Amino acid sequence: MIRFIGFVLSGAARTLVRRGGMLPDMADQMVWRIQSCIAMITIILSACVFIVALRKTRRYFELIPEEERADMAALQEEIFGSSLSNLNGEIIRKLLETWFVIFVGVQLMYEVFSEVYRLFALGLYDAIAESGKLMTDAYTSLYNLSHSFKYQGMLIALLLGVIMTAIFLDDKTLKLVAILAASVYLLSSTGLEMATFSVLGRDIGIVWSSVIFHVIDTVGMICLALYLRVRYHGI
Amino acid sequence: MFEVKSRIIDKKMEVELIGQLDTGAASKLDAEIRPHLEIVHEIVFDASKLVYISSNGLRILLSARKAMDLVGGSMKVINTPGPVRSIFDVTGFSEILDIE
Repeated sequence: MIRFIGFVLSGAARTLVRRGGMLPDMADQMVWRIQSCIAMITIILSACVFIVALRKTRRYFELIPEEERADMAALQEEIFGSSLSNLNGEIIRKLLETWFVIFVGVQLMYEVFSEVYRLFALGLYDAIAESGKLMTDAYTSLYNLSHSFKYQGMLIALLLGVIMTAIFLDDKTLKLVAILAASVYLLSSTGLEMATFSVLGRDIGIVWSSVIFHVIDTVGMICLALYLRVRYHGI
Repeated sequence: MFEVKSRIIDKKMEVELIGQLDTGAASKLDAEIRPHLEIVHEIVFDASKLVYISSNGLRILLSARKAMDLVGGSMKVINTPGPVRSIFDVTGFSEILDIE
């Protein structure tokens, strides 16, 4: 949810602060700085959420004495039956730690790769512009083709996290969703053209692999959290 | 150390839980409420002085809830202190019991 709000604020910054011109948004230094600040705040807040959750988990362990835990688990199983996760508290804590590393790591990677890719895209833009005439089609094509590389590592990390969670929980639905998401991303990276259109005199380009990554990264993660919360007691 | 005090007004039973409701103490609570489960339609557990609740204690609350459901009555736990509330939350029972 924090990440989702971060993206909304970044989008607003692009629209409100951008000073116009023909260059892509990523060339606008002011927009870039604001987006980087929002991203850093988002990463720090996300890390805080995980740290608080991990501390809470540790506190929960102290609530029930060790000799009582087996009886408590038996009672939960009796009452909740199949809706109870087959993981004990210690494994849930480890899973949470793993997601901490994946989620915060992915956000940090995103920021680093975004900067690297920004420099690449701007260099490419300059190179094409210097060739005498601005070959918009060539730039668009190269931009579209190279854009998906930026997200590959991060998407793999997220989907591995989902698959790993699915394996721990022995959940077929999650496994299928992860495979489906990976397939859609592959399809968008290899088969879909960049969509460009004009809104209020401004050219907007949509790279589908980027859209799909961001949907998985925000809405997908919210859905995963809700699914785990509703489907499994204790997670 | 666990102590239980109760009173019945009309068809409402008020039960005060004091101290540590561990495995050994759960039978004391059971003995206090079980004889009345068929005559009351509402049970309110006051947990303000409760320090801990074990699986056996939870079992008794769940059976009281079941008994109330059978007669169309209600059961709730009120004034639940933080640590005890956390036990209900972490075990998932706060989702099926009325905890205040």
